[in-house]
Amino acid sequence: MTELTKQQKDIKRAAKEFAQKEFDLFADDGDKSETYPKKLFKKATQLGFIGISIDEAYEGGGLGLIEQMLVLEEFWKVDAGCGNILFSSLGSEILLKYADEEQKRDFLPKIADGKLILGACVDYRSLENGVTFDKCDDQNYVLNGSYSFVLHGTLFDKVLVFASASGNEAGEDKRAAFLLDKDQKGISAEKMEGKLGVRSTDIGNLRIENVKAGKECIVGIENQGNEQLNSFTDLLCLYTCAQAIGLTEACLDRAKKYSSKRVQFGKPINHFQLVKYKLSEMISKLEICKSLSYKMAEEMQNDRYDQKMPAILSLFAKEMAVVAASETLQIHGGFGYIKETGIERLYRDAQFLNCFGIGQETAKLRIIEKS
Amino acid sequence: MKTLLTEAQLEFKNYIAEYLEKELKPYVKEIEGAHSFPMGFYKKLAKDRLLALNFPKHFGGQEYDCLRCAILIEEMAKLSSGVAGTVTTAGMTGPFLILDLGNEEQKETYLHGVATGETITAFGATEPNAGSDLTNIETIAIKEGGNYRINGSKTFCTNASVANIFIIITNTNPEGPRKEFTAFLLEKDTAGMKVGEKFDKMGWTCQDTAEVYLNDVVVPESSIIGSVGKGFNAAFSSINFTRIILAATAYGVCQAALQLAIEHSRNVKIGERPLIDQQGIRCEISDLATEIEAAGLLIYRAATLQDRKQNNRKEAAMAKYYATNLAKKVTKETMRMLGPEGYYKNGLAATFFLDSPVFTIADGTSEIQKENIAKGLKLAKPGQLGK
Repeated sequence: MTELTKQQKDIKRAAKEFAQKEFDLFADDGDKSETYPKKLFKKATQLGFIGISIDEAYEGGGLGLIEQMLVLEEFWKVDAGCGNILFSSLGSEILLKYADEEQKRDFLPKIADGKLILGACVDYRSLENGVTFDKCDDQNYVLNGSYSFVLHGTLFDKVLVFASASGNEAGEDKRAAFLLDKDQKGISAEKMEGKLGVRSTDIGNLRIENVKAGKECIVGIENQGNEQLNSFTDLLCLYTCAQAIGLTEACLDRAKKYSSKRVQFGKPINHFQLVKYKLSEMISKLEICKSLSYKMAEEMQNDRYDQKMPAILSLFAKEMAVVAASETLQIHGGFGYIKETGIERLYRDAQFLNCFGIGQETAKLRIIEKS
Repeated sequence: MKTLLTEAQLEFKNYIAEYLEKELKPYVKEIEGAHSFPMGFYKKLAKDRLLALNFPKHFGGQEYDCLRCAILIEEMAKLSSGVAGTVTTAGMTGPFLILDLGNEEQKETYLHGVATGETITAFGATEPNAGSDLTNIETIAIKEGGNYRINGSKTFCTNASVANIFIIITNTNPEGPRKEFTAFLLEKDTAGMKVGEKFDKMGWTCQDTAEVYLNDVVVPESSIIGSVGKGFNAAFSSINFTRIILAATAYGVCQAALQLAIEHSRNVKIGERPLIDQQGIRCEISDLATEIEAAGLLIYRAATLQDRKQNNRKEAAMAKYYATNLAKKVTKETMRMLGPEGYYKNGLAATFFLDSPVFTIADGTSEIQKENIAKGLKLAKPGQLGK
């Protein structure tokens, strides 16, 4: 497995300790009442967990994507819904890479400080086709469309919107990324309530109606929209891996513990091959997923990565997590199906990965495209 | 699906489907949201003579075969597997044990009420330390003259908070070298018996499940179902029937979930074209549809063997294992195909997804079914795991 540096190990440990100590207060309540853990977010910000991959020059943690991944992983290992607070900075990676200096100076420090929450869409259909823009003149644009399933979709201050030029000819694919203000006229957000899992996460649908945006709202330069969306999609894949690793490790822990204690037919059930197989499958997939995704994170950090890997790994990771949750529930039998053991929450949370981000079909096609 | 059902069976299926469309569908959300036994609908079924279908006419039943029972439950599960599961235990498989093994007095006292909806049965075999391995049960019954004194507890006892009779499996030889399993029939409110809080479950919300505590419960010898030491006959006498019915529940859910995926892929467009225009989506649906029909065939075969009174342990296990695992797969894939829209609780896809994991656990886990299949294939020695 990829050897983590001492610093990375320290960060991982700190994230683990923080999550284990602080999430408890919010996780159950969040799952019951679908409330966003505001106080937890504040604490996480104070301790520097938010925006750790933002450069120090912009008052961020100055660390990389691996560190961001490790924190997300440890957070998800304790509670997925609470873990998603980290996404208040989702999209800052794009700003860091593509925005002009003034935009970076304006926004990145605030993001790192928790004062500016970024909204970011995790529904691939919306990302690709949700919003269009018309160019009125050199300086002014008008945006229209709907942007569904935006993380921090009601709490955001700014939202990163990928919009395609209206009236694109077939085969033509002009796109630009805009950073829009929540209060901008024409933007309305609706909270999407009744989620199956990750219930502490704030998800909303945005309607974007005749929103006027000046040139300064465009991230970097206009013609880079496709490249930026591509980067963003790959980032989503990377984070999906981190989430899936965290959740699968949580499953493995619980499954190991329970199966070593639960006695049936005169022995602990982890003495039965069928149970051993389930555990060994989780262990194997975790090793594969971890080493490949840390490697990918490192390469993405250096902007020299194999373009097909994000889609490959996100496909693998999603399936890994969903199967792990399902088998962990199965190992727990009836006790896994009742709320008090917390196993069923893993099952619901895992399915979030399967429903959001880039879908299986899109991922498979991307793999060919990038090969 | 084009089917091997006879015309009469098909007619019954259509009748049930129409009936449920009218009597269940409009109320499903309300029933599942209430988180309790669907008493109103249950009484309605009684009134329309759809409970105790498998019972003799003498007890108000219809003497229907296993296949038709499976069809009823399959159709019900298309709308709500929670309701289907509840109806199964309360009005079909639970009281069947009494019919099968009870004495005349027990039958006359309790079984007339099954078809009318007045008798609701709870079944208590599982214990905290006895799930797949029922021989591990710790609830004991000790003979005291003409009575038995019962102590212990049961968990995941279906219908416990509404039932008026309880079938409780005990060990009547706690001191001896070999356990001796005996089934008792207890009325609710028997002194010393207490029903705990209902479990808050992930799915099957209208199915009532609770713990039952037995503290110095004293009952006469005549409460024994069958005879002393024959408790496992009680627990397993109708297990193949029960497994077929649960498989039918899963089969109903598979069909309804796939229907959602199909509708979604027809309605949602990427650009100008519906999703279904994509070969990948279309053919994934073909894959699932094929597997679902295969599950149906396994179930109908196992039910037909049951009705011919042929040994069907292996076939019932195969049907149960295959259909219930498939339900988990189909509901998961359906949600995935629906994408973010599928991830919300008000949608049917979510309900199906949350309900399905119980199918691979209840009435013998998938792992136990594989062992049963292995036994049917003569791959396991007698007495090896999962007797």
